[in-house]
Amino acid sequence: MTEESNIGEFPDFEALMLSKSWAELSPRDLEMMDGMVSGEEEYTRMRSTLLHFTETPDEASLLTTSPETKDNLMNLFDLERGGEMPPADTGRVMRMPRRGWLSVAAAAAFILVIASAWYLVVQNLDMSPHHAPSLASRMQKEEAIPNTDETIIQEDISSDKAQETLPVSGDTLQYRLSLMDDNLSSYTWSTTGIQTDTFNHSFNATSNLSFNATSNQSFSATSPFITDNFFKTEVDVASNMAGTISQDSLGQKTGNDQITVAEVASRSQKRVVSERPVTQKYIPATKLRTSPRPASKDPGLLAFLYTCP
Amino acid sequence: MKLLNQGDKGAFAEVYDRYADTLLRYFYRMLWQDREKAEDFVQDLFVKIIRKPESFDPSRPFRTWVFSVAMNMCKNEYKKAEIRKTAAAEIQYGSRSATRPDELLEQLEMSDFGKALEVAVQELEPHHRDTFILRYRQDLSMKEISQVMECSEGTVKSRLFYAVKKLAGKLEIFRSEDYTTG
Repeated sequence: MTEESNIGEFPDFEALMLSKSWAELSPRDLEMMDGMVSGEEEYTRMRSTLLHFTETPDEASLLTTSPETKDNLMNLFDLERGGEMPPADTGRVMRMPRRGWLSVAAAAAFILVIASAWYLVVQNLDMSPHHAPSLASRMQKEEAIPNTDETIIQEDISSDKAQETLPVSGDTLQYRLSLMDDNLSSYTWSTTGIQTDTFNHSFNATSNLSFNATSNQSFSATSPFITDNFFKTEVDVASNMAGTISQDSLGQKTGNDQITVAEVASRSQKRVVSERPVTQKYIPATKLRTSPRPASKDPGLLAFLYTCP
Repeated sequence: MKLLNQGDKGAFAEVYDRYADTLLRYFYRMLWQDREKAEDFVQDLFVKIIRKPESFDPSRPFRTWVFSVAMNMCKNEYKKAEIRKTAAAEIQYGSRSATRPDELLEQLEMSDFGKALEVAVQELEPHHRDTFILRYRQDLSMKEISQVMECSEGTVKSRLFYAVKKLAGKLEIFRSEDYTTG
């Protein structure tokens, strides 16, 4: 008898072997086993093997699944079929919920809010090149107001106390201005100088002058931008910021105008974006100011007024 | 399974409790007695039941259907193992493939007959081994095995007969009067 892949009938040898030894086989049984086994020895050997497997459990019969496996599967069932969220520790089979589009939408909304806020802040910072028209209109408004005090130089207009005073000798002043060149690269100067004279308001800015440039073009220390434009502009600013201005007893301005932002910009062929004094790090001991109010609170307008002939 | 298809969590828990351990033992016996792998396969099988309950054929008994799925998973694993050039025996028994089965059996102690039997079962041809394990370890009937393996009952009996015959030949050295009756 040969082994085939699809056999219709096959003797029930199992029932025979499990129930009868070779000696107990009937003639009909012996006829059935004829050709299947070589004889008593093989029959007995096969029978003992069968008995062992049917009567002796193997080590696998003691195995049981771990409780974690069931927990993981129940959580997965909740997730896939019940719509419940799984706990944080869900083991091997847990997958992230398929709600990626929600995360994307939330991220897009967040970016939109941030971008809007940034745009509003930039608009309010008065850094736009479109500042000029509004400056002109405000200038006209300011010119309509009688002004007896024309000498407000490097004063922290954001401080009421500072507006009432003028720097005295030895005071340290800081000044900052921003320019923009034709390539739309912005530059910010931050200069620090020392008031050298109480009454003439000389401001020596050549000793401390720093230059900060921010640009959307990347440049290294050896680039032409650095070696040419950068230091040339720095020298221009230094020389023009070092001017002197005097104030007589009537509060009239004499001497060189120290506020030369526009001039610096024109010399260095750059546009003025904004110009604002930021800090006046002192409280003057003597109030030299005679005028009841500043000419303007707008630093841009101040710059314009000081550069007028 | 109908309740399970409708998302009944209790039905799923019942199915799991009824078949998880049985399947774990089946995978353990079929996959080189690797407990961790067997546990993973049980999990994977139930994941399939959760995700694709429609793959269950209602015309078949669940017991035979689930063993069919399990056996196909084992066959796929055997193919992967062949691709990896890893003999099935090597995974559990080290460099056993370098040793002929007869030599391996001779190396085992006479008292370790049970272990020798398990080794001999693993050495059977795949269709013999699958049939033998389903019958004498998983206690499926001839009819159920024929449904699982999609063949006739006669074929199942034939495979079992030749499997027992080969096992008896391999285990001749362990023959003892303790296992014979009459």
